[in-house]
Amino acid sequence: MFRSRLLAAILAMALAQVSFEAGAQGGVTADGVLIGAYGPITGPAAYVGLGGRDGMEIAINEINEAGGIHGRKLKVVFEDDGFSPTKALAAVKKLVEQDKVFMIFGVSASNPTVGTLEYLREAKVPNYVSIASAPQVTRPFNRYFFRGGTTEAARYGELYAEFLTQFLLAKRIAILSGSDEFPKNEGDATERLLQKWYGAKPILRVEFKVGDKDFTPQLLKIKEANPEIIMTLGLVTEASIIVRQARELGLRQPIFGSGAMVDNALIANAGYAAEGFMGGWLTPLFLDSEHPDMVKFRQAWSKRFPDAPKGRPNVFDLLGYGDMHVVAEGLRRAGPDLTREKLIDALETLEDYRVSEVATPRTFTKWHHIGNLRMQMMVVLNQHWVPLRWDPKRQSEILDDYKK
Amino acid sequence: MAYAVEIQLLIAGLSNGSIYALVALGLVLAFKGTGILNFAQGELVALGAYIALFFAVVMKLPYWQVVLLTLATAALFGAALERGLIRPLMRAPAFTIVVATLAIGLMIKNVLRLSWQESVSTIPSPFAGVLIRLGEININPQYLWVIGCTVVIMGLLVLFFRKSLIGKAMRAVAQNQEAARLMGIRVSRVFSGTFALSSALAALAGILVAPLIGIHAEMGAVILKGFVAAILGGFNSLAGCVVGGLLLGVLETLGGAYIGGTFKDTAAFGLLMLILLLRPHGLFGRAEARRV
Repeated sequence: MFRSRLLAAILAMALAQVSFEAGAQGGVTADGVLIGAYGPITGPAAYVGLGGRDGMEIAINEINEAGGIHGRKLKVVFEDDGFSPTKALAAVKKLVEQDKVFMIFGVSASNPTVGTLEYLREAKVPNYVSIASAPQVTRPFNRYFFRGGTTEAARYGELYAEFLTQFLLAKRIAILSGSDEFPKNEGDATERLLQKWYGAKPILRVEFKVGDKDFTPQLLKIKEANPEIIMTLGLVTEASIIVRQARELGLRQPIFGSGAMVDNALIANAGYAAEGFMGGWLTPLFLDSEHPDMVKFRQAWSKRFPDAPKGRPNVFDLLGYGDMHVVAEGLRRAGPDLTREKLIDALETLEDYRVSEVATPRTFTKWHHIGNLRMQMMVVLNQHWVPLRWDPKRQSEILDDYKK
Repeated sequence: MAYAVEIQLLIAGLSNGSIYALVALGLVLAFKGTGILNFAQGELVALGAYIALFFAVVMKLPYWQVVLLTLATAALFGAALERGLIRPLMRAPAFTIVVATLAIGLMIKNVLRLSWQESVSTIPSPFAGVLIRLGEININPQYLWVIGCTVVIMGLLVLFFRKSLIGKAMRAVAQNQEAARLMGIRVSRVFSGTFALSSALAALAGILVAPLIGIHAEMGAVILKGFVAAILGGFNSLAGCVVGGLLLGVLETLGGAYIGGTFKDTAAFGLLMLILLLRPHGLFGRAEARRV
């Protein structure tokens, strides 16, 4: 009896300790700020987390080498979530309760990120997410949550519809999209806005399954419909085959693809069949750009990781890098007396802030924490991704819900 | 031209089917020769493609040397796999061996993923830039190359098993290991040889398919279609594997064209069920007679 009471008392004390620590301003000392980060660095989505983590580390190196922020160096504890919502939640709990970090920096995909939102909001820990883009991540508004580099999934539809009809002046559009969630959502959003905004309902929509390797049936259907442009949504593995097969089957129309297809693998695999392929990219410059800011980023990257695996750095390196600099700017503006609430107030003052042209400008306000609504359209020219001079003009509807 | 669409669909279907047939041939060969269902066969396809990628892109060798060196490397790997991992397990229950091959497959996949991450690569086709045009029909010669190679390989395998001494020894081991051993056949060598041949077949599938679909760690998923092709063919006959594979490829492509892209697999597997209901032992299989 006595022993069980003792045990209960110890447990109660331990729990009280945990909740007290979670609520306190952990992670800030005279000479450092401890940031907890998580993302998938093993499993099928490892390229997301590895990119995000390494980009973030390069930014932290730069910030610390320049003397830190108000005399404090940034330190990071990183946890792997293996692309699983339960592991992401466990990782975040460990970071907050055990490592006592000041804030969370997420470089994971949408599903794992959603798993952490509720907990971090209740613990009142600032939660800055760089990559996850599903609407469930950002809605409803949550003061402790910020999203940087990627844009809202529904925003892709707005941008694609405007680009296709207003820049390429296409009216007869055929959509070839994957049937899994992300390309399906993108396709649905584009289809809806093409019709609602521009009265250009796609003349044909055909789907394929994830992992398909042959698109002859779908492409022959498109050939029969004879559109002015073909839009395809899915992964670069699929795009590489689609582009080659389309040209082989005698389709001469321009092809526009989703963000995931803007990748050097497309050029490497489809070769000259990829010429003229267009797609949206999440930063203003492509990775092999000779712009001084990108050259500087690449140099910093290869200095830190001399034995780069193929395909790296990738877009997630750029997103993690750009967003850690945004956080740093927030910490700077929050002043030397750092608290979590002050950081949030400071981040809300950012307007079109970016470290350099490798990132899109981020803006946060008191009523929305969606940092980026832009995308850079790219085209394959002479076997390189080249940015197109186009900026969307139409006001996005994405923020309207938050205004209400 | 009339039937232009149908002819293009048919060629694409036959080409896809040829790859399924090669995977099925490897599976059936190992099963017939050693009694082991090798669940790593799909990953051996991916491994073959990556070996070819190494020879083609890193060593910059011409296509024919890439093919020969890849097949030889894959055969050595298959023999080593049998000697190092499968043979010590030969006395274990069949289920243990199946799980072991599954584990080997997973290991291969994860090593490939670790070293190449998620990037997609490719090796150049020997027919790069060439397109066969017959009126409205456009054909990528790689498709014809894949189909031709598969048919020739099947012919060579049939000859090998019927005419050559090693082929006959393999058949003897498959029928009765004890009797074969008593006849002076070194069963363990035959096992290694069978795995070498089956791995080389997987690698060939990898080399042939790489210019068409690219090289990535998930390529091994083709094993599922290989199984279906083998079952369609009766899981016993080499010609059955090829017919089963080609049939599956064509059904899938036509299903995709006339029923809908997302129903490709449903159409093909639906028909498979139907065929198996009518002929439970596959198109070329026979029920094993057992004396009681």
